[in-house]
Amino acid sequence: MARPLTQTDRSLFQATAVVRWLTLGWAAFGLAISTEHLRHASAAWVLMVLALLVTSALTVLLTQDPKRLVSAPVIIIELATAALLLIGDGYVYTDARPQSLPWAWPSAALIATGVAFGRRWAVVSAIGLSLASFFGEGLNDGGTSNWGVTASSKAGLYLLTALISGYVAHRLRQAEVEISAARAREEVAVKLHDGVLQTLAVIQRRSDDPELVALAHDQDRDLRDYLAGSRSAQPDLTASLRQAAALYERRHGARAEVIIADDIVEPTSEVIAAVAGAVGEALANAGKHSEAERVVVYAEPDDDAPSDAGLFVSIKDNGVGFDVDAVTERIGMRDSIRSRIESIGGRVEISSRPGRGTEVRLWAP
Amino acid sequence: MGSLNAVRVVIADDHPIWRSGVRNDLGDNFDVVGEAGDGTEAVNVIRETEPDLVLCDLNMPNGGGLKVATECGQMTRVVMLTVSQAERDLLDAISAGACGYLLKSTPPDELRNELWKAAQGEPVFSPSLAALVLTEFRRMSKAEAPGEALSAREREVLQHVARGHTYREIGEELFIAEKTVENHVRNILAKLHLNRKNELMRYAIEHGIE
Repeated sequence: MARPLTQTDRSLFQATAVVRWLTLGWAAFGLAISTEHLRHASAAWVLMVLALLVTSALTVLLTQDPKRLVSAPVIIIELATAALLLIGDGYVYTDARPQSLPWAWPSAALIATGVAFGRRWAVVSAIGLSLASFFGEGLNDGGTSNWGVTASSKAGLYLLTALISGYVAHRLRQAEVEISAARAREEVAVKLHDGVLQTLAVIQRRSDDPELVALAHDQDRDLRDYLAGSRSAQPDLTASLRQAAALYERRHGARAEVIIADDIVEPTSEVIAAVAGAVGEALANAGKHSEAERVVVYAEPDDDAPSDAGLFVSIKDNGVGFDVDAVTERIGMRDSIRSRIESIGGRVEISSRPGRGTEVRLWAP
Repeated sequence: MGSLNAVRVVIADDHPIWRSGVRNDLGDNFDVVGEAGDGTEAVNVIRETEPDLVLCDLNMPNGGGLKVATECGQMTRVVMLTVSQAERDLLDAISAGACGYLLKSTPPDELRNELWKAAQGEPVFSPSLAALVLTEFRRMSKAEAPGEALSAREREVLQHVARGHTYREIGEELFIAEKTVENHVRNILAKLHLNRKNELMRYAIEHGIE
């Protein structure tokens, strides 16, 4: 049940293959300079040949049939070889050995496990290899004083390798998915711009049927939202403001244009909720009183704010307006807009004149 | 046929149904003197008819709107009418010499208004365009990129446009004449145009493109 390999997997396995050869070379070198400490020289060389065979086989697999690299049998063979090396390590040397046969080679097996089956299995394998290592040290004759220390430091190294490889592979794969999704959207966008969006624009212009026009308008907006890409599962500021605008458009049959500078710092969910709520109220007010044909909701970073996350939002309609001095503030304005924004430490200004529309301006810290 | 002092317009778009739709929407104050279905044809028609205003789609065969703006932006006013909200398209259009950029979803009466103003020489700026230009300048100043920055007043004017204010409302609010507001917007466009051109040139030099 091998899963398809992504480009990321391929690169990671290539890197792992390099690690395998380097550590194998290192192990062979270590063995060569410490032959006088060997108890069972032939067993040591048999183990080295085994590691060489596995390393070669895995390299061949990488070029010939890379998707087998993520299959369970292949991973198990590699891990088993690693365990054998670790157990053999204690067996082949005499007590006062200056070298350790294979301490680095098994980490490549852990990286491969992390890439293929994720962090959890890599950690399980690391624990298995650590046990093999303890067992191997125990086989060493004479029971050296520091065998526990050697084995423990190896165990620590393996756990760390397993955690990191699983995590890195996961993140890289995630990034790859995001990039390919963005690329797919861009390709779709080019097609849509010349086809579907064009058609929707024609319908909105040519049709006398208000329902059809409204439908085309909604679809137009939905498509643009999709093309702009939803950045996260959490409702972000853009999505929340567009939702408020869509509600206004449906209720009042007027246009609401949402314009958001693309360099705003995404606010906390608390600020988003307060701002979106206040914008919704401001739009509801415009719908009830302004007779406006169009409302513009505009958001940009507030350069004067103490923090980078400062936000300025304006809701401006082109409706009848009112005399701010003569009309005492409507309950809706005061309670729903002001209280929301003031609860997050922001402030609100409302300006209007008869015949000049109304503008509600919000600053969030 | 439009009235005597009607604005003479050329419409360029590769979709005939769109051209006829816009022609219907324009009404009596505009006289459509020519139509074209691609970039090359548009340039030829414009040279022949010398219109007051060109209404041009961005994505067309044979060079599209950018070619039209580049080759005719000096002799007439080119307004892009497009479905694309991509920042790249918009900045390219402005730097190519377009004097305005409107979305095809603009309602007919607003379209007529904006185009009438464009024909009188006013820069046509939709709020979304103003917001993009603001962001572009903010990005430049943060990156400390060389190029002309906006004055405080220009920034203020641009922000008002982005918020959906008309030039008249901006004039009243800032206690300046409507014409002055227009001049500010024109200067902003010129700065953007210049910066963009320099940026493209620098990019070309850095990357060894002739």
